[in-house]
Amino acid sequence: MDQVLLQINDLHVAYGELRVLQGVSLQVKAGELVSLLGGNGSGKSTTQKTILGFVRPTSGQILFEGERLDTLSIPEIIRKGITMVPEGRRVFPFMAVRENLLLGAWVRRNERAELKHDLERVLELFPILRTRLNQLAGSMSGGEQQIVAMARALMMRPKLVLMDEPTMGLAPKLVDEVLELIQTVNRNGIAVLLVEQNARTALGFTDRAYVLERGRLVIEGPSKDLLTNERVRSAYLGELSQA
Amino acid sequence: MDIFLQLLLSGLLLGGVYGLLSLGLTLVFGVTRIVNFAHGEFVMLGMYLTYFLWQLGFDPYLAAPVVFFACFAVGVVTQHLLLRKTLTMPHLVQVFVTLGISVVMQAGAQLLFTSNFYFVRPSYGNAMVEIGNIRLPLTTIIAAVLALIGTALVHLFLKKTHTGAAIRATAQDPYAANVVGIEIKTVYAVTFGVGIGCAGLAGALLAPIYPVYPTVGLAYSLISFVVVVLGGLGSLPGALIGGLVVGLLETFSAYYISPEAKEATYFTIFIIVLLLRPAGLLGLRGSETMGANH
Ligand SMILES: Nc1ncnc2c1ncn2[C@@H]1O[C@H](COP(=O)(O)OP(=O)(O)O)[C@@H](O)[C@H]1O
Ligand SMILES: [Mg+2]
Repeated sequence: MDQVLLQINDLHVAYGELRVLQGVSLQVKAGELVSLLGGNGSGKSTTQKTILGFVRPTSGQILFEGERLDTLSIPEIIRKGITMVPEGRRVFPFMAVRENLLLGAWVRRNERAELKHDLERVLELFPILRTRLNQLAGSMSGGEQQIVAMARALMMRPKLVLMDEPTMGLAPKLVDEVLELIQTVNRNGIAVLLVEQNARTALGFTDRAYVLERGRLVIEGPSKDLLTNERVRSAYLGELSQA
Repeated sequence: MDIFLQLLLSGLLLGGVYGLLSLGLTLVFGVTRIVNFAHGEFVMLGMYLTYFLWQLGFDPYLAAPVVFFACFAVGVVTQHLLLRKTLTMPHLVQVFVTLGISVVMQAGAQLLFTSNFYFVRPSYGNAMVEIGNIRLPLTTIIAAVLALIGTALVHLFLKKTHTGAAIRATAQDPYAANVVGIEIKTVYAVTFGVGIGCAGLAGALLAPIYPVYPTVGLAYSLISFVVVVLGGLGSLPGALIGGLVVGLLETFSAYYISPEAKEATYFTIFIIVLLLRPAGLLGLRGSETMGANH
């Protein structure tokens, strides 16, 4: 499981004049659970959007299983094995859960027989959706919508899922439930690059972590080491520095 | 009583065609958020196409599917060349672009076809169908039936095909559509094509009933705007319901007030709806209803 899945080298991204990422290099290995931390506006979502092909880098490289991604279109990148659970869940509100899930496999929409299997496999991972298949996604609670969004992202049988603040706005009990589901996904061999607001939560259950500050990576390492890192403790864990 | 029934049926038949006409406008708005001020000009295009196909020996109703696909193609190309770049620009830019298209199409028709009225007159053009004491023109009945079939086919297309699902997904959340790999540029072009196809098809169905001339589109733009405001901007069922309501109002006001009262009636409805229920009869759920109701 040590094979490098995603390799980002010296990535620079700008929106017009605004330079958002200024030399980000990171790595996700197959099956790894990696968190990307940082304050508001530090460039976490932009990093994920650039990986999926929404935003084109001004320079730098994104490699997935050794192949360049940064010239491919979104559907091509999805086909390679990367999907996203976007910030704010973004389910299709006036569609039933089943249609939401099937749209997750839009890129493979013509493989009918296989889609049936994929739907079944995803429902095994998220059994609570089984009885909800005909419910409109927009009528579900925030936590349920988050599960729909995660299930939708798994329909493509991805090797890497990008998750952007999946616990945002959820009640504490639901936060735990969603985090558990992320671990379930990960235990199925799927790598996860997780953006999470709550640094303590993220560091508590991921393998490694990166910390972004104004478009630059300032700290990286095994998550448990970061939990005791002075700078992380004072800036992200709300603890006063002892030094 | 017979007069009332006669007017009621005439109004509903006309309203069915208005429903199809307005479906195109509301679909384009619901998905791309563009209010197409040239919508009526594409009805005009459909009418002229039908006229020339008829001149070549085609029955106008056999020409209708051809006109739909021709207008679909025109819509895709127009979107690609003129509107694609404006999607991220302020709405005012899109308003001016579609107004520009409308002016150019009117002037073009004037140049090519003069301002003469053209009539499509198939041999059965004056045939009447009698049901008891009620007499209805055959052309109006055929137009309404084909318009309803067209409307049903568009709904089926949206509900049952992959492309239809992509259109509904894009209407509900273009960002999420992007996230799952839907090429929303293609979706916008196809949607505009279907919308213009509906306008053209409505034109083909109206051509054996009403004459065509370069500025005829103004009336149809006006009608479709009234219908769409009435039914709720972006609501597909609203287009049909609004179409039927406007068809009835037009027919009844023409009889009980005066045929010239038509436009005054539209504007009166328009203003009353905007005052009392700005969201339309079905409420302003806009594009979102595109997933829910069909
Ligand atoms: N589409 C955009 N256009 C212009 N600026 C943007 C856009 N998206 C994000 N930004 C800016 O880029 C910076 C990083 O944003 P983002 O990646 O969303 O940060 P984070 O997810 O870490 O909160 C912010 O300053 C934000 O305002
Ligand atoms: Mg963000």
